Amino acid sequence: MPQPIGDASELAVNRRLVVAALGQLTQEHRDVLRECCFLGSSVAQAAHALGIAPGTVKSRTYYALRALRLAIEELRDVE
Amino acid sequence: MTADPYARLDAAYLLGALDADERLAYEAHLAICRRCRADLAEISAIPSLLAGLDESAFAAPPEVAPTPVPDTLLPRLLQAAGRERARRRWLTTGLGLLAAACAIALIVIVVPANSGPKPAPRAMAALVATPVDATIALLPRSWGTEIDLTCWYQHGAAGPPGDRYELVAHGSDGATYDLGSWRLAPGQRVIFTSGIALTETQIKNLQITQPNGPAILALGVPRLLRAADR
Repeated sequence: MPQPIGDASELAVNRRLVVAALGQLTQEHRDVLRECCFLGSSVAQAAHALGIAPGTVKSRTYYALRALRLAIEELRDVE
Repeated sequence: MTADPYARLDAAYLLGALDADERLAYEAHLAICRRCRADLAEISAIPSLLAGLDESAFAAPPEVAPTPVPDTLLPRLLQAAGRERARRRWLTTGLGLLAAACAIALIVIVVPANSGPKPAPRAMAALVATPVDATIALLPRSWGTEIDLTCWYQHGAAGPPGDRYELVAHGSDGATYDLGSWRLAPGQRVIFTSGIALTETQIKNLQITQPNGPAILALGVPRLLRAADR
């Protein structure tokens, strides 16, 4: 397992790296992050906008953030 | 785990998407559930990385959509799955059962060496703050894989003129392959073609480094990402 992304001091991850990592997620994961993160939607708003159940918004964000974390770590880890 | 109704709430909580009642209930649960606290800690740093990104960052990356060929450096498992998908598509459009008999022959048919659209170049990801940008396109060849590199200094940003860079590949066999080196000057676009006697699936990643320096750009796909998507 790569080093975990720990605390704020580790957050100096290059933005382009984050964008590249986002690009490796599924579109469903990007969509739910766009709703809840970029647009600041609530679970209910995101569910309405995406046409999915609120429970799916919760689980999808759950998996999306983990997939993103893994992608970032792996991209950093290739060094 | 499935019995815990709070088990999958950490991301929505961190993103501020829970309503007030649910947020308070989750916080109360956190106080008594070590597993949920550990889950939360696992991803607590991620949302701040997303803050301030452009909306375009959440759109599909342009190079992914149009390529009919499965993405090049995917992990073996995913590659196998993608090939299976491509295989079915081709089979149904008339390649016939002959192709099914031999997976290797099939790949040659599905990915002809000299016809069809070239794979779109893919942007390399920066591993450190760097003025260098690069894209790479990988083309399957009968002898291995052709590697087309384009490298340049970002507009208005440059390292010292004539700075030297190197392209290296890491194989899944653990070996390192030197694929060439070049000098870069502001406003200049370096394009060159290299090659490697590995198939795409045998390439673990590609990196641009400076001599004796750390990797600054990389192209590689996380091994477990797609599995973790599910």
